[in-house]
Amino acid sequence: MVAWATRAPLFLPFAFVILFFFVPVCWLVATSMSSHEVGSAPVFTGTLAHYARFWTDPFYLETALWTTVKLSVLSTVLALIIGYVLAYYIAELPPHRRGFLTSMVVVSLSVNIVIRIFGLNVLLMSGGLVDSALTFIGMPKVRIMYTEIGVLIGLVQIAIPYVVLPLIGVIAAIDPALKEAAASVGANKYKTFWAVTFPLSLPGVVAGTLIAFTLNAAAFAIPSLMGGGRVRMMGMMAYEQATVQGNFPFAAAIGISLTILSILITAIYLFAINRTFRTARKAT
Amino acid sequence: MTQGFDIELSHCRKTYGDIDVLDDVSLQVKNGEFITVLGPSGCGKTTTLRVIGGFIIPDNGRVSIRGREVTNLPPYKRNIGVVFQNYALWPHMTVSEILSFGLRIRKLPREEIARRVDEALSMVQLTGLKDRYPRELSGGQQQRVAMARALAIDPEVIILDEPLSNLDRRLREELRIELKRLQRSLGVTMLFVTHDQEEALSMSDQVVVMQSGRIQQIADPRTVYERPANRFVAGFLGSANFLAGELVQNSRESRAEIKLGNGAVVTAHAPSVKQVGEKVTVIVRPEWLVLERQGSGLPTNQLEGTVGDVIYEGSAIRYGIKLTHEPESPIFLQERSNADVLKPGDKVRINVTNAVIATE
Repeated sequence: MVAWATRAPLFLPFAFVILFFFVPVCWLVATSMSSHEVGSAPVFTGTLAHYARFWTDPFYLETALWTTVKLSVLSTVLALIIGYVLAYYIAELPPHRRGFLTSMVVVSLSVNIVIRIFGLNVLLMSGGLVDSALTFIGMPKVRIMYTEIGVLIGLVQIAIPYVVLPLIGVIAAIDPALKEAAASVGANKYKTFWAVTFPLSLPGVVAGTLIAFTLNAAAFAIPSLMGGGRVRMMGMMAYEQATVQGNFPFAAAIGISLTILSILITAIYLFAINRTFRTARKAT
Repeated sequence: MTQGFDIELSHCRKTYGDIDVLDDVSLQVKNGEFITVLGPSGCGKTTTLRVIGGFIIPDNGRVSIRGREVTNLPPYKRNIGVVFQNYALWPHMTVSEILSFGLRIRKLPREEIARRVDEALSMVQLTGLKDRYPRELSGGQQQRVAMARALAIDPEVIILDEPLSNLDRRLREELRIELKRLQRSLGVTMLFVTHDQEEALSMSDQVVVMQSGRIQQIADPRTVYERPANRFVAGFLGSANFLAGELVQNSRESRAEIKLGNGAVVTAHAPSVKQVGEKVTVIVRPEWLVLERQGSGLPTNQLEGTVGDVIYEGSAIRYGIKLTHEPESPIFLQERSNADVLKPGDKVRINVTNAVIATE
């Protein structure tokens, strides 16, 4: 009895997750398999028509699906490259000097996403800082805002902190003697990085890129506010279907499709990582 | 000329802030020699090793390996095998990947790499563990892999940073013998850093004793132990009694007579020429003192005192003896434990069989 009473609070987190995550997701799956009549509530029929519509119509596949996959993968790769350099630099600093830069990364996370987007707007819009600078040095006028490039820049800058933070810890924890040992047998800095540092930082790479990718695949605010209606990603499209068209079942089908797509790409990614660095898991 | 030495440091200095980590360190290691750098932590011994390895560039001085100056060369251009204290085995590689890494960098043909990996593994008696990861090996096996990695690249010299200090005592003693045997059979020059005096005395051709960034003495193990240059060396290697006295005679070759504070006269080895009347410190190791059980003997080298502490140490017994009229006591005396055991308060007469004058 006493044991049960003391353990009971441990079930609260489970209850929370079940109530506020699994139940809505199940409800969403049910909605996606319901009939849609304009003006009446969805009725569950088990239909897969909404999925068929999304996965067969070239319009949805090209505008929404392809744009989503392209932008989320590309933004993750770019965020990894930029974030790795940043994290490596910070991790190589003496511990007492890491704090400031690390906190700058954290601060960027704590700034509201809408505010960050408006900041980017000011920077990237026609007549904005970047545009003026390009004009000044005599470059032809390019449109960044409300294009895929603009959305990509937005996605990358949102993702960087999620890549940097886990990487700092992982890179800093690599025993410097491991790098010295590589140097002692003849490896220069470049070879040492690819043979020792990078493989040992893989847990951080995987953690950071997974967060960045899933976040950006489901991105809503950035394509909405920076895409100007031209760059359509799936999250945005689901929102449109639900609020503008009032087609909840189709919106749900897009949402579930996005989730499945995300899981699929993640699985392929993890599989590929394990194949390439078959020993990465053993490293820890 | 630097030729003839495998490792040569001349006047190396390294300062961090106000601290001289290396203070004018010079040493020379001949081909095939096993040299140990010994000292307490913070004495500069690891810095010395890191300067040789290229992980630290000295502020002043020169480092040469086989006559080639390498002072400012990065480690990967030096061809020095390094065995690290915590072994530094790459956790994501198998034993054969670890051993072949340096060979792949050298772009050796595949068969050559395989042959040299096998060779290195058989030298350290680890054949058959090629596909293991470091975490699947015991501490002793990891140590051997670290050794094999250093050997596999066919280095000009091997430097070892306290490679045995993480092992338990039995294994440490076993590997000590094995390492020494390996070094002798390969004829490879090794510089070994340790804080363990037993390791230094039992393995080395030459011992370098360091303290506060300075070399205190370089000599073969016997000389370092039996003719310590100063109080520090005497106290760091084994235990020692220090007796203050005044030089009364310096007649024979490197022998001198010293009158102690209580009037007793002892003869001691004098490594440098001293003037009669000079104040000196005499170093006497506990086992150089012998209890005179049957009456008095010679007029010199006799001390009188009272037994204080009696410490049983298994194979030996150690007595703390308060000398008559001598402020710098108790002095310690060690004898085999099969002799009659004395009691605290017993009056004793001691024969000093050996003594050395400290140079400073």
